[in-house]
Amino acid sequence: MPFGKHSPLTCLVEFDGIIKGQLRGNIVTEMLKYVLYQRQQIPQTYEQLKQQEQLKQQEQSKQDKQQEGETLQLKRKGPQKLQVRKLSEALENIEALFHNINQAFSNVNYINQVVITLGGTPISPKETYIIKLPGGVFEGSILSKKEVIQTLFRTLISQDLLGDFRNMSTTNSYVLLQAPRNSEMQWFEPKAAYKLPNRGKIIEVSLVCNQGSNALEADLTNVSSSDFEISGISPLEISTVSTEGTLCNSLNDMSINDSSFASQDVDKEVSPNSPDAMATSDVEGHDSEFIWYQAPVSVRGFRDKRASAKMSSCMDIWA
Amino acid sequence: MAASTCQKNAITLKGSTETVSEFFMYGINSILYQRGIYPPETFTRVQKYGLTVLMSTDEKLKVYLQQVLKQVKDWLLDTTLQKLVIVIKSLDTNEVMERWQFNVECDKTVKTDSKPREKSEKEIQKEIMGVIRQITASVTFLPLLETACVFDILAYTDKDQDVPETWGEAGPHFIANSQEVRLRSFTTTIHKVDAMVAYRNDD
Amino acid sequence: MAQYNFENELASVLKMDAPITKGPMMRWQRKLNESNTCNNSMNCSMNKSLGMNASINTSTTAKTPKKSLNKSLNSKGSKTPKTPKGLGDRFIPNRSSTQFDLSHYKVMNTDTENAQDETMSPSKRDFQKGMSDNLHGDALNAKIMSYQTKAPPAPEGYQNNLKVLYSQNKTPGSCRKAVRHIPQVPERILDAPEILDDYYLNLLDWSVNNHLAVCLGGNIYLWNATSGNIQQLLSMENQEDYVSSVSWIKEGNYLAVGTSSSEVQLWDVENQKRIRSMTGHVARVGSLSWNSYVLSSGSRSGNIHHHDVRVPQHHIATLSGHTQEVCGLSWSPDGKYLASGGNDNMLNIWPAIIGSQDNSNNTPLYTFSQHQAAVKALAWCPWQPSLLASGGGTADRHIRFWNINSGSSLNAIDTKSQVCSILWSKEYKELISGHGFAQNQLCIWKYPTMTKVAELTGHTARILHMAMSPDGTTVVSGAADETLRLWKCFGVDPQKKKEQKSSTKGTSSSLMRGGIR
Repeated sequence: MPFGKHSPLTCLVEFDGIIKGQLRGNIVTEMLKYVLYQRQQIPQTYEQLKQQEQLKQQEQSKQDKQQEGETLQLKRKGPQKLQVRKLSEALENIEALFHNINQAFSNVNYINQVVITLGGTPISPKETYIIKLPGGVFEGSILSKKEVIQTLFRTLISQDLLGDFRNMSTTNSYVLLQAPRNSEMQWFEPKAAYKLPNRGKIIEVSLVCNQGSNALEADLTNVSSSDFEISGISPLEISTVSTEGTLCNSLNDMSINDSSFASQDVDKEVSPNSPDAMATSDVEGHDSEFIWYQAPVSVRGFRDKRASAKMSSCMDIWA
Repeated sequence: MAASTCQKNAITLKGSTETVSEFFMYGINSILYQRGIYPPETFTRVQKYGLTVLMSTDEKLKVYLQQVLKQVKDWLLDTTLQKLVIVIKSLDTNEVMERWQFNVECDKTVKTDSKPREKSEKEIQKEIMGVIRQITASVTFLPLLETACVFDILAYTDKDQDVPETWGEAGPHFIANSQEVRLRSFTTTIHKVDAMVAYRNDD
Repeated sequence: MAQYNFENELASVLKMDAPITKGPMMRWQRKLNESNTCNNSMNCSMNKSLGMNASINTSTTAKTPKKSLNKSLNSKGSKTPKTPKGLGDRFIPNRSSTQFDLSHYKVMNTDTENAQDETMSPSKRDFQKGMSDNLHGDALNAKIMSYQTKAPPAPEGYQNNLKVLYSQNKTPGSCRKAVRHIPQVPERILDAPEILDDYYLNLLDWSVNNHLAVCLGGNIYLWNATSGNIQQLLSMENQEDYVSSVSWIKEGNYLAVGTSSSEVQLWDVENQKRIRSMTGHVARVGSLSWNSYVLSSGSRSGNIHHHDVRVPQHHIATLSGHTQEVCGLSWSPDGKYLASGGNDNMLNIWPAIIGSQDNSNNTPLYTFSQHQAAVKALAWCPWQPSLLASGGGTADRHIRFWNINSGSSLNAIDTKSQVCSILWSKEYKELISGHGFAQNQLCIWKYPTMTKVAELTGHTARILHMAMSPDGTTVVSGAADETLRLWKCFGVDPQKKKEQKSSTKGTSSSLMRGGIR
């Protein structure tokens, strides 16, 4: 068994249309936010942390104005100073990851897999999240960012893949992208020898773009969209829909029809039947080897030590 | 939480009621924070269920919630509460934008049947943690609330429940043309709470 | 018949199984009417559009509005109650409690529901029904109530800023407010008259003993940063000659000096004596770098010489990797690599194989040609071995990062201005770069995110040189405006800060005080 004790948990997300280049980057950044919060590597969602920071900065600048001309010292005591720093560092690293992920997707073609690992090192992490991005799809309506993100998270949250995971201690999160060997990848460092881990928990999220007949039908009948989200809930529906994948989905057929087969090949860089090889066969004059590129920063998980203890006042309603 | 902490494993109706109403308190505050119903600076972070949860510091709001949940708790004790619904409406148009529904299934035999129900508090907390995390994560697919909104709390009880003095009967405030997502649930063995959210189909 | 009226009335009053037609209103009826009259005005238009709804609601004897809907659905059929007498004949539904939504839904969906059913698969249908029942159906089996007093409104003028929060541009880059306070004014400004405005020279260096060596024309002055003392170390014999570079040995007791007369001199600072004068170059020596006892010198000729300062035959190797002046020269902290940058836009990396006589070792390991201008700024990362940062001149303006192990370019940042110098801060994992036109500023960057942490302005002409204090807290910048500014940008101990607060800020002390030329 290639994955040791655990076989990978899989989740399929289907989109009725094409996802254009830049949006692929958005998908990855949104997934990163989701995983970081759900696995409690950050105590609040990224947006909430940003908001808290902004509020703090507003407060700080108010204080600064009052103390113009004096050498401002860091007012906080030791542990709080550390907490502030952890938060600030984490946000900076997360934002650097966002920025560079988006850059990578606009500059480099054929990034088909992205991996987020949680654990001391990306080589043998505790958890590995493999995001398989849709292959080349050439027909269909172009989806908006809102549609893509909504569909992605409706599916993820309804399927609630992470819901039953045990609590996790704070650790490092790494991001790796898989792209052609000679790509113009900036900032991410090539790790030619890197292979996907086969230990620990492995979660695969496969994104697939349906187009052609399905999409057309949707337009014609114009039923209320309450029909569509059902696919996220009832597993039976997923497999029937997926076999209707058209030619352009051939790149992802492996992952749809037989997820265990595809996942077996995940840790081999190039094998004749792997989805990666198939992806490259469509690309003219391209180096047929894909390698992994690792971000030079990781996100160090931290807990919220500053939140006050449970507010007892709100529960004193039953005197 | 006083009651449940004293009895770690044996769940009583009273303890379960406290757990559920406490969840409502934290859950409602979370929703109000996340959906921007009230300014974020009026919230403060507290630790609960192993999570950072945002709770309002607005006195008027706190009093309101306390009053409402006081009654809800009574209904829970009576095992007549069926649902608690948080309705979010646009201030200008009064249109319902979002509807957070918590179904409550109560094991009514608990009043008569003295068989002890056992479940570790830690387990319950963990389940609640999962629900709240999911509620928080839902923000990613919920349409942005771009206008000022107000909220209301609806309680569904058994039909024969008397309407208390300070309450009134109300409609369900459905969303026309809505999309729904079912979320997680938790159970104390006496009360089972399911969560789901409905929102306006923006297309 | 009149006598039976009373009896009839009595009998009807006593009858228990008929609806009460006289007598006080039921409490719920009363409540309903009370709220109805309040909502009078709002409901007329609603009633018109949903006529069906209005008619459903007219029978108020139903216990709840919902039950009236049940009329059509409930086949058991309770007695059809009539409008009781004694009440107003105008029923105004309570807008907020009326189920416009439910009834509208039912009205609109009665036709489409069946059609949908046909196209749906059984499990889908079941699910939808289940959801539907869940959300709507139970409405029929429950009582819905809400607290009369409504929740307090949000404060006036509160704008829900979720949109801003969630659609934020996720790219960093604009000046983030630093966690620590970085003073925007220099701690000290020193006069540096006659400092040469020549980009290709290296005229500042700060020793481990806290001595700052400054080259002004043909003189070298040592400023003791601890005591504030200024001492003139040397003055060129020939009036036309000038000092073109300066570099302290690691231990801080010897100072290497490169001159316009193509010499490399070695000075014993404590005794103020010149102990070596090493020749070999054919043009001025604009750059110097130490690797233990080996001193490397770069010349306008493009050549680099290695000197073993311990032995009489000091010249142990010649590296010919540049076709124009070598303006940047830096050994890695581990002594494994020498980075050299030239006016030919090349960045060369040389291995530390020294002492070999044959020239086969004198080819660079790597030659990077990405810079589009002179490469003067070179700095090795103190915490990550084999990581090099380089900065380009006016036509290039980029800071580039290199992994020397793999020979790959890691990143390139456009700073929009000529880069003359780069320094790393180990304490904060940051980078500071010195610039020219138009702002003549120092930029502090967070590594590796390369977000800009701060910009320090003040110089009125381009910055030419930078050096860092031995404790890593202060950076000195020397510019063409003939000043040296000391910036305490990497300060650490707040206590120390308090002490230094009393030291004069912005005072200008002339270097000329100590010695006069």
